[in-house]
Amino acid sequence: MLENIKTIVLLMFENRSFDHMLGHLSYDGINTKIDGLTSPLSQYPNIYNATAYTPFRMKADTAFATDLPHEKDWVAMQLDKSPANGQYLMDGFVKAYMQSTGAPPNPKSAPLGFYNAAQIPITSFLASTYCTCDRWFASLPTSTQPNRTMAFCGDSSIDATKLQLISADGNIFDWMSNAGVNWRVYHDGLSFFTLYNRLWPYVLGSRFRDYEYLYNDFKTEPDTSFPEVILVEPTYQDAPHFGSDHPNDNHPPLAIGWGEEFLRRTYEAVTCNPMRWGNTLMIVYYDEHGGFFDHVPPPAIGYTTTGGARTHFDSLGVRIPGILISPHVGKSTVSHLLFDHTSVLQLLAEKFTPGTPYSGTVAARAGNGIQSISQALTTTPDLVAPPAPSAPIMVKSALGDSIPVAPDGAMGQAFEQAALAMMDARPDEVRLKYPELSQWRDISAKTRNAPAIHT
Amino acid sequence: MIPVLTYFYKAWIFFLLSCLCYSCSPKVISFGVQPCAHITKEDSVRLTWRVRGKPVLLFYTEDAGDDENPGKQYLTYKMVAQKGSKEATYPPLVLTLHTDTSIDNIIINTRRSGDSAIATGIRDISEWSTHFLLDSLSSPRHRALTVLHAGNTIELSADGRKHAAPPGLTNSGEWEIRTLLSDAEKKDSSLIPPRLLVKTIIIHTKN
Repeated sequence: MLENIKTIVLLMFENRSFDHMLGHLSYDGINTKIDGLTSPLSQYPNIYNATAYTPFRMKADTAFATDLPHEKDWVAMQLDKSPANGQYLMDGFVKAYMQSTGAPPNPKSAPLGFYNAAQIPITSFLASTYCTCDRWFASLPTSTQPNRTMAFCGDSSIDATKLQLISADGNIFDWMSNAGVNWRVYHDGLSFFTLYNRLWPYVLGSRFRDYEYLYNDFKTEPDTSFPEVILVEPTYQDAPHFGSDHPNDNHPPLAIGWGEEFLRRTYEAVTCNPMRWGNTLMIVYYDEHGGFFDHVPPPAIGYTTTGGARTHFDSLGVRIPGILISPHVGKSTVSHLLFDHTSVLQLLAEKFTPGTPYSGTVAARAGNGIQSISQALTTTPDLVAPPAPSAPIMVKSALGDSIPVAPDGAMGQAFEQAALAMMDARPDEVRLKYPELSQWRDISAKTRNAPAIHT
Repeated sequence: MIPVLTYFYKAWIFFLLSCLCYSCSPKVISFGVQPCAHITKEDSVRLTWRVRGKPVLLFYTEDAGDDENPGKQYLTYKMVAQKGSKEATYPPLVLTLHTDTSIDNIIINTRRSGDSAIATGIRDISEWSTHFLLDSLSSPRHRALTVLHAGNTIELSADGRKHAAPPGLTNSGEWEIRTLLSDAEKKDSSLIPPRLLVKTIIIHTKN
C-alpha cells in the first residue's frame, strides 16, 4: 500500500478538540459512524459548583474573548480523574476555564462551544469526504510545545509551554536527511521550528520555502526534485505579525475562518496536479485540544519527559481532529484506530526505513497500542479529488461586521486586472516573484460569482 | 560609550512606541453583573464595566427550555470595546432566566469513603443569591441518598419519590450527598457512580 504514496503532506493546526471541530458530523447526521456528539447533549455534563454545563452549538465564527487554559495542570483538571472509580470523567473543562479566566460561571462558556458545517466549511467537507480519525489523541495531556516536540521529534524533554528554546533531539529533519528522504517545509509565517535553536540551519536553509510556492511547486515541479515529505506551516497566532499579515493557525482566540481559508488553499495546492494527487497523502491534525471539551477519555498510555525534572504523564492528551486526505483512503470513511502524533512518525519509518522504527520511544508507543497511519490506508484508490467549497469565507467581528478573507472593491478589481495582464506578459518572472498569483488565478475564476459563506 | 547610548536611545524609542500602540488598543478591563447569574422575571440586574475605547453592549435572549424546564431562557450580555476599526471583547455574561417554579439538579462528583460514595460541593451564593427556596427533593437515579444541606439531613428514597424540603431552605450553600455502595460496587470500584444527583424543585421568592 505504502508504495503508492510518493508524497506525504503534514499540516498541523493549533489548539482545537475533536468534538469542538468535528462533533457536529455525528450530531447533525452528516456521518453517524463518527464518534462525535450525539443527542441529548446533557449526556456530556461538565460539573462546576454543583451544576452541570453542557456543550452547545456556537452562534457564529467570531474571535473568542481569550485563549483557553491548556497547560498540564489545567488539562488534569479537564480530564478529571475520578477519585471514586479512577476513570477520566472529561467534565472539568468549564471549571478550568472559570478558574483560569476568573469569569463567572456561564452556560455558554467557550470550552463547550462546537461548530457546525457552515462555520467550518472546508474542515467539514474534508472530514466528510475523506477519512476522519476519531481516536487520534494529542501525545501528551499538556500544551503546544511538548506536543509539537513529540510530533516532530518522537520524544519531549519539556512538559510545558514557556519562554524557552527546545531540544531538537530525535528531530524529524535529521531523521529524514539521514534516511535520504527528500523533504521540504512550506511556512506561511515564521516557522515553529525557530524555537529549536539547533534547527536554525534548516529553518534558514533552502528546504524551508515560502508557503506561496506550494501551489506552483505541486503543479509544475519535476518529479525528480519534488519532495517526498512536505510540512506545511500556517502563520502562528503567537508569532510576530507585521502589517496585513494575519494568523491562520486556528489558535484561540482566533476566529476559525482564517484557518479554513488556509486549509482550502493547501487542499487546492495538493490536488491541483492530478498525476501527483494520485500518489499523495495529506494529513491534517492539531497539536492539542487547546482547552476545548471532548467526551472521549484518553487511553492510559504513559510517558516520562526526557529532560529536567522528568515529568510523568499517565495518559495521552485530549482527542484532536485528524483527517487523512488522499485517493488511498475510502470515501467518507472513519478510522477508529488509536493514533497519536507519533503515528505519523511510525508511517514515515514504515515508508522510508522499513523494518527500522523511527526511534525506541516511537516503537514502545506502538507496542502500547498506538497504530501507524498506514493502517488507515485502503487498497482501492479513488483518483478524483472533489473540489472544496469555493465560496469566499467571511468571519464576523464581535460587533457583527463581516471581515472578508478575500479582497473586494474597485481598487481590488484594478489590482486583479493588472496582475492577470502581467502574468500573461511575463509568466516566468511572475512565477518566481509572486508565486501566489498562480493559485489565485486558477481558483478565483471559480469563486468569482459564488456567494460568500457567512459563518 | 556613544554606541551604548545610541543603543539605549533606540530601545527607549521602541519602548515608548510600543506603549503608545498598546494604549491605543481597545480593551475591556472589567465586566460584571450583580447580583447573580440566576434570575426570574421579577429581578433586575446591574451591569458594570471598565473599558478602554468606546463601550458597546450587545444583548440577546435565547430559548433554553427543555423537558424539565420548558420556560427557561438565557440572557447574554457581551461587552465590546471599540477604537477605530479595532475591537476587544470579554467573556460574555450569560444569565439564566428561570420561571417562578423550576427544576434544578444538584450534581456533584464523588469520592469513596468506606462503604459509601460521598459528593460534596457548594452552590455559590453569588450565583444563586438566596431567592430560590427548595420546595422538594428527590433521587432520580434509583439510589437511596442522604442529603445534608444547611444543617438539615434529608433521606431520599430510591424510588424517585418527592420529599418536601424543610421550610425556608435555599438551594445555595454547601451540599453533601451520600449513598451506600452495593456489594458489586465495593468489589469493583469502576462501578462506583462518579457523580450523585439530587433533583430539586425550586420556587423563586422575592426577598
